[in-house]
Amino acid sequence: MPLKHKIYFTLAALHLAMIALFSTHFADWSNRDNTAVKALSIAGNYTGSNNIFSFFAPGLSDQPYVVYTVKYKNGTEKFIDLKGTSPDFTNRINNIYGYLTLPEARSVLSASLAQSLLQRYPDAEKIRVAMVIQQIPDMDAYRNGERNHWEFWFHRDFGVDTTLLTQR
Amino acid sequence: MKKIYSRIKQLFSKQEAAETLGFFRIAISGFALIQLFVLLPDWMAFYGPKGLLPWEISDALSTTQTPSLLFISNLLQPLHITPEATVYIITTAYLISLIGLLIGFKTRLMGALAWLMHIVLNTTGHFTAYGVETFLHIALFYCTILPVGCCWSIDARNKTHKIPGYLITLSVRIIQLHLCIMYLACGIEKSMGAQWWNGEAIWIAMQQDQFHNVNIDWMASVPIVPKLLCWSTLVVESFYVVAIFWGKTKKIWLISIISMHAFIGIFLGLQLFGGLMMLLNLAAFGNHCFPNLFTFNFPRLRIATQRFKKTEVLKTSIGS
Repeated sequence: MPLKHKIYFTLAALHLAMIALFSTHFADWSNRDNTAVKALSIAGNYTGSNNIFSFFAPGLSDQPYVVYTVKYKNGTEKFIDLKGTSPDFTNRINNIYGYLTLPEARSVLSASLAQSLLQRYPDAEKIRVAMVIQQIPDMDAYRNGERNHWEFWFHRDFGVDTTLLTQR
Repeated sequence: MKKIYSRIKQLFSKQEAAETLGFFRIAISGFALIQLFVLLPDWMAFYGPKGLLPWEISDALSTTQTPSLLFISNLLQPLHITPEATVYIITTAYLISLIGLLIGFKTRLMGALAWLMHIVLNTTGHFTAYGVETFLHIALFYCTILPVGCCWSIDARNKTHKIPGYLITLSVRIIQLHLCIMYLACGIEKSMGAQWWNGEAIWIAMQQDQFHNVNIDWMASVPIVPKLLCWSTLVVESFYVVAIFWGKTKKIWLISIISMHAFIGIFLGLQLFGGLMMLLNLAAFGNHCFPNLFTFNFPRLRIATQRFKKTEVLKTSIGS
């Protein structure tokens, strides 16, 4: 086999080995401060070889959703269910809502969403970002009469300059 | 051990059709173009400087070291190019590169440009990105490094030197093995969850408001149905790596995995993700499972050609 072929085969083998390695959640159990691990991660970001494949695995959790209420200067309130124009908008906004379940990301993400909504409703003086969670009973419970329902999780109220007013 | 080695050697020496890579390129660039037009009405909400998440926030929370729209915008600032104009420039470059990739004009350059523009857009929009972007990123990377312009392209018409066969085979194997590793990891991770054994995974997924396209309340009374759907998903994904290469099972496995992704697209409302996965499977294993799928060598046409050759009209001059 010519040297050129050997180089191509070696590179392909390394690439596939990296895919296999990262699919085992390598980023979680390796030492992230290690220079070699960092280099591998950066290479993986560009080549797409650093992904984990946990689609719906090991199971599904309750679905979060966000509802908004804007309060106008005249005291009236409007409930908003954020919808987009493209068919894929819902899938993508739900991705952001998923991150809101992480306590460390909650304040910054809810403030960002509040700011985005305030741009759409310039007459509003306050906005409430409220997260609800859809509780789905298992099949046994469903047969016994339990049904899907939404439960309040948290809310945050923001002023026009997205300063946090209240939270619960 | 020798047998395994010879099988691996055989796998990498068996000639693959160049049409496989041609189909891969057209499928990926065509899909990316469709996705671009589908998302266009909300483009600024996903990627704009004042979108759902401001650039500063998405950059601060990004864990990758890849360039973002904010980074490009800062580079272009001395030229008095606004952040909004940066989005238009990157989007236009992405669109042009995808068209170039589709027709196979300067394929490698267009592939590299599409891949880079996709990275820039999705570093900024990583909070809104899901599985479809993961696989599109992988596929565009392959469009950059693999000789996908070797067939059904303007480049292939103009080029005098041919891409060596071993390189086409290696390229196809990389895509195939990437899919195999992915499905194996998916199957193992799913099998670690109780929901995939008792059928609750399908029940919960289809009851969730975001995926609730079809009323499946009846499933609670017939729990064997979601259970069988979950088990078949585990079997198809976990054994994909073996079954897709084994002659006796390869056809049924390809049909099964494509059906699974069609189910995801139709019943869970993930049309883009389902569509991309179907195309990837078809591109990687279509020709392997159904030989001559991409060569358009229709039997009737072949028979007619053979008969025509048999008469040897071409070799015999009139009157001789």
